[in-house]
Amino acid sequence: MRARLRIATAVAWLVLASVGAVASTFDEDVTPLFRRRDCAVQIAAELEPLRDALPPRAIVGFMGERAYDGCDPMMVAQYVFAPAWIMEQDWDGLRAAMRARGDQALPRDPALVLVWGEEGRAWLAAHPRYVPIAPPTEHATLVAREP
Amino acid sequence: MIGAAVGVLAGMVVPAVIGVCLLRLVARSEGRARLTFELPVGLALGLGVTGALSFLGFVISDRPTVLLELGLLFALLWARRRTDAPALLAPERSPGWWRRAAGPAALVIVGAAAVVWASEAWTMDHGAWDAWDIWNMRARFLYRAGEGWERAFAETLHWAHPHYPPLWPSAVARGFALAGHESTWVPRAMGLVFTVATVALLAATVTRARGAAQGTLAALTLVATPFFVRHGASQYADVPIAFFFLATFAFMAWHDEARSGRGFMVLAGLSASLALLTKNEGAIVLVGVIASRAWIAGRRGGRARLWREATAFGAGALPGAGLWLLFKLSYAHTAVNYDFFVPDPVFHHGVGPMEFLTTQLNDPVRWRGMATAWGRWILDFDDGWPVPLALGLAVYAAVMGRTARPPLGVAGALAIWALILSLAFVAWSRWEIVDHMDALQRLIIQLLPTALLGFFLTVRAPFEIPDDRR
Repeated sequence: MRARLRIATAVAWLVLASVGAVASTFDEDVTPLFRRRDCAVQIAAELEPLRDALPPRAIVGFMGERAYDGCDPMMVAQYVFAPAWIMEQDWDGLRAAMRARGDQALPRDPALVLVWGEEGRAWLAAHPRYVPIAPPTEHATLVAREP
Repeated sequence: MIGAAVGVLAGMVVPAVIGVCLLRLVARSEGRARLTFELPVGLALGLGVTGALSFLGFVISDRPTVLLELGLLFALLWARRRTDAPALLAPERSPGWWRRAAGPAALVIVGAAAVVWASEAWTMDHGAWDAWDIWNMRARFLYRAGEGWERAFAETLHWAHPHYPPLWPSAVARGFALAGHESTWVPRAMGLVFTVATVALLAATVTRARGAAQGTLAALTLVATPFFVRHGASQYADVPIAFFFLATFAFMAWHDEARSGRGFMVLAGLSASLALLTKNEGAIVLVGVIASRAWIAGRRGGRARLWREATAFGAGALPGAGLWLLFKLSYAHTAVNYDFFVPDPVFHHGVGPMEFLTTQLNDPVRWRGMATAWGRWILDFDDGWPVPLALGLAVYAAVMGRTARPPLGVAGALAIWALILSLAFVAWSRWEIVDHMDALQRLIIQLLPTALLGFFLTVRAPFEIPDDRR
């Protein structure tokens, strides 16, 4: 009796696993097979043309909204622009800590800045010394400080 | 598309040969097992080894190089010719009616998993958040930066955890270099390899020890866990580390079955060191593995057995552990704002580290939060089983009963892992603890294949004759 119960339990476990596996496909959106793209793909595609304007070891400040369609544009920019460094323009904590330890000093006003979205455009309007160095995209403009 | 596929496959030839040679130094597979076990498991093991060698290549020559892995490849081929490893015995076959029932079930489950994997992989060309924000971003640094590759681990990239170990991004950068461009198929294909290899290793290990029916049940339980399959497509390092954790214990189980030689313990040590080089969690699990296994070896065979196993494990782990130490001492940075291990009083709400830890440990809200998070995720980590998987397994074990098999050490290692992890969250995290412990879902998935190995080795197989009726 116990042996039969064990075999029945194993069969039930297989059935349960099969039902669960099939049900999990209902949570999936199969439209990606027809080229639905997530936010990282969209932002990366938008920023990619700007990469050619950057020297490889540049330090680029970032000004703008940190959320777009579920992604952080600054972090996607870091992914696209590597090996350039992207840094938060307005974060003094990291800058101060690195300076205190004698590490490489991060500039307060980087020569290059990536501006993103409305917030970035407002910052650019208030900083006329920065001029675009590559054709702007829908949301992003890469600017350099005039010497 | 075809060019990308050829480039990606080209990057997998040497790892496959290296991995298969490593396995064949210890034991030969025969027949179908060559395709279902040796190839996927060898390839994943080889990708880990070549990823570690790629990082060493960056340290030595500032660029991706295949010279080190080719040197290892020829050494292994030479050693293979001088080794007469025993053949692995074919597992006991299950009854015909079971095979006829399990076959369609396997097709349904694997088919559904393939749909889930493909849907996730096609949506996210660059992987999920941590993939493009941490792993693939760092791989791009390594591939693009030339002599400046160390910039990938700079504190400036504080949000991307510049102290995370280098194996996975080095392996992806190696794939980019061999494909000739930054194909998004490199990390996707590697994720698929590790997903398949994890299932194959679990199936083969349980099958060898407990028969084909039990092996099938173990493998299909893992494949039917949606969160595991989704992570196989996320391009994160969680499935690779899950494979290395599983390999550590699986090779120990094979060592116990073999009863002679120490080759499997060397492979277990190698796998543990590759886990260490993949994510920081590797260090926590390594502590659990060593403590748990030392206790078991000492109890079963005294100091002599402990010494034999420890030296073999250590010999396998030493090269990887040395590389990990080199990375941690020379290249890794712990960012000032990092949520764990914060070294700067500014980020401890103005108090010193010791006072910060004491305050956190004395806060009952954090302990309650920790318990709440465990309660939630232990029942919810699978992300889609018809019943919570942990609960289902508990009922399954109660019905099936357990065998008298000597313990492998999985339960002890998991208990130590859970204890260290919980204390770390309570004491060090600066975040609201329940929110921060959402990471538990991924941490549990890292250990799910190992837990399933321990579970299906311990519970009675469906067609097993009880010990008292043999």
